[in-house]
Amino acid sequence: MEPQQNTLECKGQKLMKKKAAACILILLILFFGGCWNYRGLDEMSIVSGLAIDKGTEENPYRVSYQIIDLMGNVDVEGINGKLLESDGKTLFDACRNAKKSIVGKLYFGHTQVVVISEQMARENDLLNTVNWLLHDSEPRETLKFVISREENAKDILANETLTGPIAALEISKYIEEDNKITASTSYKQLYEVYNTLIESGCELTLPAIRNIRDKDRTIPQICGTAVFKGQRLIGYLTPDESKYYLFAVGEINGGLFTFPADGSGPDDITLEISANRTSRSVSYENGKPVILIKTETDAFLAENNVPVDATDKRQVDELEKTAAKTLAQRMVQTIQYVQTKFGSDIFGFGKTIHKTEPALWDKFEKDWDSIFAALEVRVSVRINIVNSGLTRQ
Amino acid sequence: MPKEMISARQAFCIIAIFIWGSSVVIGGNSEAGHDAWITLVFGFALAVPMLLVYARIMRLYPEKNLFDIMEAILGKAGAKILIAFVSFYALHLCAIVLCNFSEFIEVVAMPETPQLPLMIIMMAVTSYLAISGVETLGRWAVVTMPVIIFVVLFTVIAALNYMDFTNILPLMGHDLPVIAGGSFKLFSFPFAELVLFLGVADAVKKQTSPYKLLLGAGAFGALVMLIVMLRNVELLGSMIFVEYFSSYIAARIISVGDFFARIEGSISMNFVISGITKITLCLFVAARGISYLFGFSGGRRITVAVAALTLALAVTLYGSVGEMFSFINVYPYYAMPFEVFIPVVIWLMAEIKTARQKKLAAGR
Repeated sequence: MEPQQNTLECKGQKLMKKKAAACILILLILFFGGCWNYRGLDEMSIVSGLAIDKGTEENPYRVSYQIIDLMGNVDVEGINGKLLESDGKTLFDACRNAKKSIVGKLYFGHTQVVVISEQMARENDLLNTVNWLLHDSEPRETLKFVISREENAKDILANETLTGPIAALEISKYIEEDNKITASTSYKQLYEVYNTLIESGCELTLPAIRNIRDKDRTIPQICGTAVFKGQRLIGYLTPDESKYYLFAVGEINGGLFTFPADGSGPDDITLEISANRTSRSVSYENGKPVILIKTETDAFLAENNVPVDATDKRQVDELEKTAAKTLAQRMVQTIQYVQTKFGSDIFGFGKTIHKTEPALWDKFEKDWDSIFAALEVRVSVRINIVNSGLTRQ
Repeated sequence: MPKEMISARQAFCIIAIFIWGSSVVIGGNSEAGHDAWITLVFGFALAVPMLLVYARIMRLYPEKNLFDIMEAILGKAGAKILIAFVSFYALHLCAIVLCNFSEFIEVVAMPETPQLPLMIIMMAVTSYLAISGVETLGRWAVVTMPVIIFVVLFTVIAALNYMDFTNILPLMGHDLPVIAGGSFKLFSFPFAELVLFLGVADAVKKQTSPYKLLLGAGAFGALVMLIVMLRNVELLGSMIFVEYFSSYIAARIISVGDFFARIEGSISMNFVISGITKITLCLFVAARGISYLFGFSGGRRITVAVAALTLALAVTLYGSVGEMFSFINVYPYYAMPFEVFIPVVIWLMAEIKTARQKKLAAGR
C-alpha cells in the first residue's frame, strides 16, 4: 500500500508544480509582453521629408520637417502634411529643438527624402549630413537626397503635388521612376551616396528639383542633375545632358531618344528605349589610359515625323545607324562638357580602372583629377529598333 | 540514468549554428573590407588543423568529454588547473556572446531599454535549455537550422536585384598583412571556438566519425558565412567597412516591390536563434567544468548559478559598443591558449598515453 500512496503523492506534487509553473508563465507574459518603453502612434510625429537650409550665424542649420498629420479624421479628410521648422548648431541639435514646438517626438523611420538647399550643398561637406543619418538607427539606408534649385530647400516640401498631399513621398516616387520613364536625372540612395563619397575614382550626382507654377498652384519638378566634386556641389546638368550621362553610366532603363532622321536639323524621330546595356573597359595607350564605352540599346520606333517603313529592313538599318551616330556624338559632347566645365569624374571612370586594373590605378590615383580632365573616351553605340508599335509606318 | 546521446545530425547542426552564433552578428567586417570573404576562406583553412586536433582527441577518447579526458590524462588533482582555465574561457565567451546580443538589440532596436532585462530573459531561456541537456539542445539545433538557412537564402534571393557584383573587385585589393590579420581573427572567432564542443563530446556516439563531423559541419558553417558575407559586400559596397552589423543593414536595403520591405527583423531572428544555441553550449560547458572543478556530480544543479555569474560578468564587460568591437582585435591573442595551446597539449599527452597503453597491452 505504502509505495502506491507515495507515487500518488508524487503525482499530486507534480501537478502542483505544473500549476505553479503555468501561473508564473502567465505572470511573465503580463510583465514581459509588449514594449519596455511604450511609444504609440499618437506620441510620435512621422517625418516624411527633411529640408536642410542655411540658418543664422549662431545656429547654422535650419531644418524643416514635413510631418504626416494623423490628427484629423483620416477617412474623411485624407492624410495631410504639415511643415515644421527649427534651427540648431548641428543637424541633430536642430531636430531636438523641434521638440520644443511639437508634442510627438519626430520619428525618422519613414523619411523618404532629404532636400538640401543649393547654398548648403555648395558651402558644406555633404558627408557630415550623410554620416549623421547613417549613425542614427531610425532613418533608413534607402532614403534619397535631392538638391533644391529654389532659394530655400523648404519651399520644395511646402507644396502639394498634383497627385498627393505629401510632397516628400511624391518626390521620392518621381525620382525613383525617372530612369524608367523620362531619364532626366540620376538618383542614389543614402548608402550609395555614402559609398560614392568615400570611394576614390568616382564623384557624386544627385537629382535637382525646382518648383514650377501650374495654374494657381506650385508643384515640385525634377530639373536635371546636380554635379558634385568631392563633397560639394559645383554645378548642374540639364535634363538632356543627364540622359546622355545615364547612357554613359548604364543607369538608363527607359525614356525617349529623339534624333534627326537625316543626321542634321531638328529631331524628327522618337525612339522609346526598352533596354540598355552599357559596358566599359580600359585600355592603355602611350602611357595614358583610354576608356571605351560600349552601349547596346533596344528601342521601339515610337513617333516619326518623316515617313519610315518599318518593314523595310534597309530603311530601319539606316535609321539605326543614324541614331547610333547621333547618340554617340551627344554622349561624347556631354562627357567633354563635364571634363572641361567641372573636371569631376561623375562617370566613375577612375573606379572602372580601379576595379579592372588595380595596379594601374595605384599609379593614377594621386592626380586623377588632371588625368580625368584630359582623358580620352571612345564611345561605341549600337541601337536595335526592335519594333514599331502597332503600325508599320 | 542513461547517458544522454545525440545523433550525428544533431551534432552537425549544433556545430554549424555555433559557428554562426555571434560571428554573423559582429564578425565578418574586418579591415579587409570587400576582401572579407577571402579572409573567411583563409580563416577556415587555418582552422582545419585545429579541427583535426579536436577530432583526434575525440577519436582517442570516444564518448568522453574534455574534462573526463583531462582527468584521465593528468589525474584528478592535476587536471584541475586546466579545467579551471577552460571553464573560465567558457564562462567568459558566454558573457561575450551575451553582450554581443544585448548591444546589438540596444543599438538597432531598443535604444531606451536597459540591457539587463534583455540579458536576464536571454539567460533564462538558455539556462532552461542547458538544464534540459545536450539532447534537447541537439533537437533545438535540428529544428532551428532550416529556419536560419531559409532566412539566409531568402535574403540572398530577394537581394539579387540590388546586388552590385563588381563590389568584390578588385580581388585582393588589400595588402597581405591586412588579409592575414583578418584571417587570424576569423580563425579564432568563430572556428577555433569549437574547442568548447569537446565539452559535450561525450554525447557524440562512438560510431560517428569525429573528423567527418567537425570538418563537415565546420565547412558547412563556413560556406553559409561565405554566402552571407558575399551578400553583404555586394549589397553594401564600401560601406561594409564602417557598419557594425552589416547583415542587418544589408537587409534594410532589400525591398521587393513597394510592399515587401523592412525584412531586417528576419535577420534579427536569425541572430537570436543562433545566439541562443551558442550561449547555451558555452553555459553548459562552463557549468560542467565548474562542477568538475569542485567535484559536484553533473553540471545541471549549478547551471542557474553559473548563468547568474555570466550575467554579472556580462554587465561589467564592456562600457560601450566601441569597446566591444575593439576587443575583437585583442581576442585572437587572448583566446590562443584556450583554442590552441591547451588542446594541443592534451592531444600530445593523449597520443603518448594511448601509445604506452598499446605497448603495454602488446607486451603482455
